Amino acid sequence: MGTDWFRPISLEEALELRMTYPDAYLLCGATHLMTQPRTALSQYTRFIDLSRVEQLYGCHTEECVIQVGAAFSYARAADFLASTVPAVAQACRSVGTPQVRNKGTLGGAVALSLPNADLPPALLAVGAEVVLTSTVGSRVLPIEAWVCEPSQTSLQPDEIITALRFPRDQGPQAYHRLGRRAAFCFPEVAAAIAIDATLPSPYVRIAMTVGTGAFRLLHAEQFATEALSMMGTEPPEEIGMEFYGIVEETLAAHSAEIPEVVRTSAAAVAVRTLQEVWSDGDHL
Amino acid sequence: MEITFEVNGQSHNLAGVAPLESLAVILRDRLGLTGTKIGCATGHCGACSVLIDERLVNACLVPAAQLQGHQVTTVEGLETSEGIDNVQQAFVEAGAVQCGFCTAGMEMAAHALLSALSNPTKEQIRSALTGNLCRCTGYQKIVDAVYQAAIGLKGV
Repeated sequence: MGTDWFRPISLEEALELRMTYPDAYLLCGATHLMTQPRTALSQYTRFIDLSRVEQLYGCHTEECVIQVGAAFSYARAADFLASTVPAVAQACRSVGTPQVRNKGTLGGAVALSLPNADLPPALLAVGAEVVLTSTVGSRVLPIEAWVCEPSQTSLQPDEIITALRFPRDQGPQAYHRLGRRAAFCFPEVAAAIAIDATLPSPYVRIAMTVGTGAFRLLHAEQFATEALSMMGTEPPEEIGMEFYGIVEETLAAHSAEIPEVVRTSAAAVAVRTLQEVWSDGDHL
Repeated sequence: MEITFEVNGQSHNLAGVAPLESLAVILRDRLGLTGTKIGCATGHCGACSVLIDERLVNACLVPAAQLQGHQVTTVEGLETSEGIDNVQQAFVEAGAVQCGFCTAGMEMAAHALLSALSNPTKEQIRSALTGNLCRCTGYQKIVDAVYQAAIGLKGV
């Protein structure tokens, strides 16, 4: 059986192909595709390669939002978002290796939504949105509504991920992770924290992954937000242990399958991340 | 499928290529450019590192179907009319080669770094080489070699 490899050069052409062949394999950077066993790919006879679609490389900045095309590589996104959405930039710098970061794309990361990847906690913490486009128009989805269930996203059979949107210049943000190797391994645990200082009273958003999918820690968010409002820009050493305990308890409640060593490591990473964003008091 | 692309400045037109055939396999088996090594074939080891349009990538993760119209530089392409280039010379002088399997990939990663950053620190060099594994664990001399290459380039 032959293989059809489509190389659209415009978004319109890509959307037509997507509608005509909803079961085709969509790709852009191809870093995930090429690591898949050939037996797993044998079910696909059509591939739609989005890497030549110019519209997917665009970006623009609005007053409060920055939008980047889905074909932005991790390396380009890390540079482009460094000052405006630093937690996502830091997560992009943590993905894979320099070689992989030059090829892999933001759109691919969102499409795959691997539960233990670097990007999901950062996207959750900063409140990212996914722009989905079909031949009938575009819709914007909060990242929290993107992953319905493990390995199940909200992407419709006629849609393509065309961009990601981020609130910009909200306040201090940080991303930290622990892995078995500095490069080319998924994080064992990762934490992203973003303080939204644009609100009348700054709010702390916290998201983590412990290999089970990224999620927000709402109780820890409330604690950190209240502590921030009471203590101002003082470094949070005094509350570090309490915050550590809350994170560990939250993880234990989240899943009984998370081993104690992972919970304690994750709590330590969360404290370190909070200390970094909090001490960046110039923004508050 | 049929693809046309450049390798080290030379145009190649290949027919009958499977879309998912990797660039690493094409370089070695179709074009005879065996300087590029295949270690893991999953992007972990960096032995197959090459430049595509001046960007460092793993050749094992590039499907043939994406090569159309692009320019590839392999370790063979680093050589100049005067012989091996500064990075390669620095590897020789620093003794940064043991079994040699990672060397081509290391040199490509070093080349990419020095093209972007002429005066890197050793920490920046280590960071740039995180995608390249040396199974002999001879990292120190490799970092020294890249550092010396940078100094040499700066002195030119």
